[in-house]
Amino acid sequence: MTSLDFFFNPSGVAVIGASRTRGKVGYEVIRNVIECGYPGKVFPVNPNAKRIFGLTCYPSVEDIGETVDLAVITVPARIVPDVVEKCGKAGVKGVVVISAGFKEIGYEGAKLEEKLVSIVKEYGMRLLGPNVVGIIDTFTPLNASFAAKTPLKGNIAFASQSGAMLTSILDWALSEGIGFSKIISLGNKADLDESDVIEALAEDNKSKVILLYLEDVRRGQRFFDVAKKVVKKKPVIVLKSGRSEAGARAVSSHTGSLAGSDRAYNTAFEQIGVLRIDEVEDLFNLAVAFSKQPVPDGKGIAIVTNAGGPGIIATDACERSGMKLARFKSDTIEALRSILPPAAAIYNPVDVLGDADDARYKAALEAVLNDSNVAGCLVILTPQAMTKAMETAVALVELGKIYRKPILASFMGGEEVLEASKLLVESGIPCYLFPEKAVKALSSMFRYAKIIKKHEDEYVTFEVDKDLVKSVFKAVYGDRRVALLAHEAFSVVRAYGIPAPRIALARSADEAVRIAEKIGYPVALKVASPQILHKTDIGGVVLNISNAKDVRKEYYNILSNTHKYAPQANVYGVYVQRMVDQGKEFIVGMSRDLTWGPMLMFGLGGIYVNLLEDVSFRIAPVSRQEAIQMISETRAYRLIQGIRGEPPLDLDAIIDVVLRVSQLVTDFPNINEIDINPLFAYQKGCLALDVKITLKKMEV
Amino acid sequence: MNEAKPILVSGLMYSGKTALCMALSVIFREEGLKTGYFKPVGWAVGSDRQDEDAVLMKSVLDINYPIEIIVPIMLNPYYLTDFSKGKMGDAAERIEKAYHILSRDLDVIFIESGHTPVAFYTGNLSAFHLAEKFNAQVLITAPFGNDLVLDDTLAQAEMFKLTGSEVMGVIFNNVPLILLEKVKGIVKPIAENVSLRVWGIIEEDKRLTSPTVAEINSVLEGTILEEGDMTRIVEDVLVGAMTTESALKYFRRSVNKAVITGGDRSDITLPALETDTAVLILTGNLYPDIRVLSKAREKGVTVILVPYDTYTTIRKLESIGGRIKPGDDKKIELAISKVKREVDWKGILNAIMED
Repeated sequence: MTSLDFFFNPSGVAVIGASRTRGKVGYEVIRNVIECGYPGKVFPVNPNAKRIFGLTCYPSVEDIGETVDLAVITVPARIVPDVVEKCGKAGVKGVVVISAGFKEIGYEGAKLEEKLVSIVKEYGMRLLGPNVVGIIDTFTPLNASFAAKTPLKGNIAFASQSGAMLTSILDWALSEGIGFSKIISLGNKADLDESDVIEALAEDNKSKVILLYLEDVRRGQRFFDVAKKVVKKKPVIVLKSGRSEAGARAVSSHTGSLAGSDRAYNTAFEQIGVLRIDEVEDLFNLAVAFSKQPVPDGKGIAIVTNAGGPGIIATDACERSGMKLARFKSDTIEALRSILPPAAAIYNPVDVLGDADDARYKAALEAVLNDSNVAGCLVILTPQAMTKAMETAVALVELGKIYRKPILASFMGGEEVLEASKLLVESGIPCYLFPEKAVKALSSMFRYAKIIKKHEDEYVTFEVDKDLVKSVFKAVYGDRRVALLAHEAFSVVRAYGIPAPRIALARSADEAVRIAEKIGYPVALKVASPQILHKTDIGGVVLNISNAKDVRKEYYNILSNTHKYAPQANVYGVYVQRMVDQGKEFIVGMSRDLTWGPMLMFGLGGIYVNLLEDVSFRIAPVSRQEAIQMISETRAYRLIQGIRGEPPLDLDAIIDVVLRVSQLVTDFPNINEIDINPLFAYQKGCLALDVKITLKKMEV
Repeated sequence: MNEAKPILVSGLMYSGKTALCMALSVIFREEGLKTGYFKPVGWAVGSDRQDEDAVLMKSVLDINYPIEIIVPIMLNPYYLTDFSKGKMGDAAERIEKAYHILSRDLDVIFIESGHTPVAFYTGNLSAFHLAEKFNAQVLITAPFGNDLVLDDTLAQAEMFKLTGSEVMGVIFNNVPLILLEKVKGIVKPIAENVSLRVWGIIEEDKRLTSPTVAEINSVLEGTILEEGDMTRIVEDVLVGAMTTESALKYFRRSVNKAVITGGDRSDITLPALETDTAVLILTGNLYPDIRVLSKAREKGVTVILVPYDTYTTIRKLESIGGRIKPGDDKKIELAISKVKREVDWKGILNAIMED
């Protein structure tokens, strides 16, 4: 049983704020708790009433004197902390605070919420909310919410950050015949959040699929670790809003916090193995498939249709979603040739023709499902004169019992196919109005099959000089900076085994010449200023200088360019660096996302990186496998493999750099940003030619 | 009774004259001397009635005399009108009277000249006139931005000598990091070669030349939506007009900053609040979401709402110099410690007391 058992299957429920007045939340909640069929004891709490719904009403939770595991609270926000304290004293284990008026309304509310949380912690209780619709368990059963109706029983668990979204979906689900195991309204997530909920749901044998509607993830790193384990047990389907810039702004306003970037969310979700969708409808299109059908074991799907057009549409949709149409084995083809009329299409997609009755459908499907190349099947039916929709549905249901392969249906029509569709749904064959929807669901099942098969990652640790990095950082903080100078950044990456050139700071033209003579010509000069991000753009970089006179000249040119284009910048001097051979340019970087932590980036580098954006992302730490995947996802990978007769580059050296950066940012959580751009890659080895590091400001 | 030794501190505006007077006064007091401050000719800027430097010095040095004694004459850029009407006739007298009151019982009195050495020359109140009048030794402060500053300094010194005053030497102030070596290695020898003693080379510190949130607020005259730590120093000004992803990366690199953006941009204001920001300036009278204000309150960041646009805001901010005000304890302490470290104050003290 789950660790949140006292929420879903409590011994005794108190409704604090229960009301006899229709229309009030306190009324709706107590009515739901009583009418849902909850087998345990219900205690309304309200100092202004003696009896509510025929039950004894108590002035305070402390007066009840019996076991109360769960308290559902609807009183006004300002008295909630006191009420919760009383719950704590009365031994209540879980509180659901439906009341609004906390963090979501501003500073005062946030303070109240903080108080609420500290009381909950003090008494060792758990809190759902505040600002929630409530919680529902269809098996207990328990409806501790103000949702208008209790949902049907099913194996889908749904947790939503938006209460309004939740109540409207419940209503719709009822009309669609979709059932749930548990419904959880997350609200302000002051205590319990999505990580806790999915952790509990993973252990819940009544829930086969987990659906989440989120606007943000409260604790990225915890969610990452927990969800990675949960997805191995059951699919987690997430709709997270705020993908667009305007949407993100709306989310920020709604939640009052800056969410991590959507790119980071996407990266994290993919890495974890969570299935992300963008449309509300898809939450359920996918859920019903996972809820009723087995996960496919194989790669290819088969489409059987009685109309060519929809068959082609479905085929297009398959390709779009990355699914493969199965190549039938020769016996399947022979079987189909003998079953179907000559005009029928016997290769995938199989067109059984408009005059197909249930028998022809059944025979064709048997042949197809017997094929070991077929891992799943989509059956499309359009109502023609000879079509026997109902009988075909019955045949599908029977086939579904025999074959352990997912079968999804798309019966395209209205009245003609209504009854048949209903039968399919009720018997566990998801039926979609349009084939693309079915394809979406099916492709996510295939994706999920891959996710559960994925092997455990192995992480490497390198021998590195942490102390040197610590001392460099200390010096930077001491200079009241957070942006490292080039020579500081170089020594940090070198301490972690990443090759970087020797660089020296010159504070006068003479010094520049001395350094150049010492390290040898040709040299490059670069302005040393933490404020200047794009040195090349302002004439702060000069390459290929081969004599003292030019060193002097360019030293002054650089300073005067800097003064012209960035007069406010703090200039520490000019770097002198030995020129190196031109390599192929890549970028390896990290940006610390506010939700998910260190997000690594790899891609094509140089000055066109912002233009081409051929980059891939992963949340660190990454395994060697993940590093290889990251690199091979980019088009730049082909450059590494060698194109147009050019020899391949040192892939291992590049992987090494990615892994070492991964370790560096994991070891030092105070690094906010790293940019190695360009990373020169050669046939043998690589070199970090320019490194920028930004630290988090430490509270002194 | 020994007469107070007058030291005239001369230099351009923002060369750090007042800060130097203050620091040396305090340091000498620590050595047991009784020090004071005198500004014969004050400068009225805009609606200010009082000379800001004098107000600071009165507060820090705890001078028990009224401000009208510390600054007997107040002038402005249009003073010739009064001069031509003969209204400044008694200026010299008033200055002498004030000086005698102030300098009583003191060992050393620092006299600050006008905002340029030649200011008020027409009225016989320039730095040169004053040095001569009080028979003061002269200490020149020069903000070293480029080589031409040395030219200016040497010419100034020469002018003092020609008018009969003794020049103690020069202190180079506000020297940018990148010029520090040059000033020490090249400029100093040149100056000393022509008998101009270099008593100190003070490195630029943005914390002294930067305004506080309070100063920014007084210039902007906006509405304070959230009052955070108003004594925080603002060293950088960033404008938020980019995408959210770029915003966070951009803001992370800068500390002690002001961020200017529209109030409707919670995708900019929130990253700004996530990073080290001293003040958030919201333009166009666009009131932000209350949750942004909650966050600002949580972080102790001041939020100011202004009715005008970004460009106007920046122009206004550019006009702030970054002065030290009474109560800016951080800045005062910093200035004093810098002078202790980077100026040969012992040498100055000995040189003064030798005469």
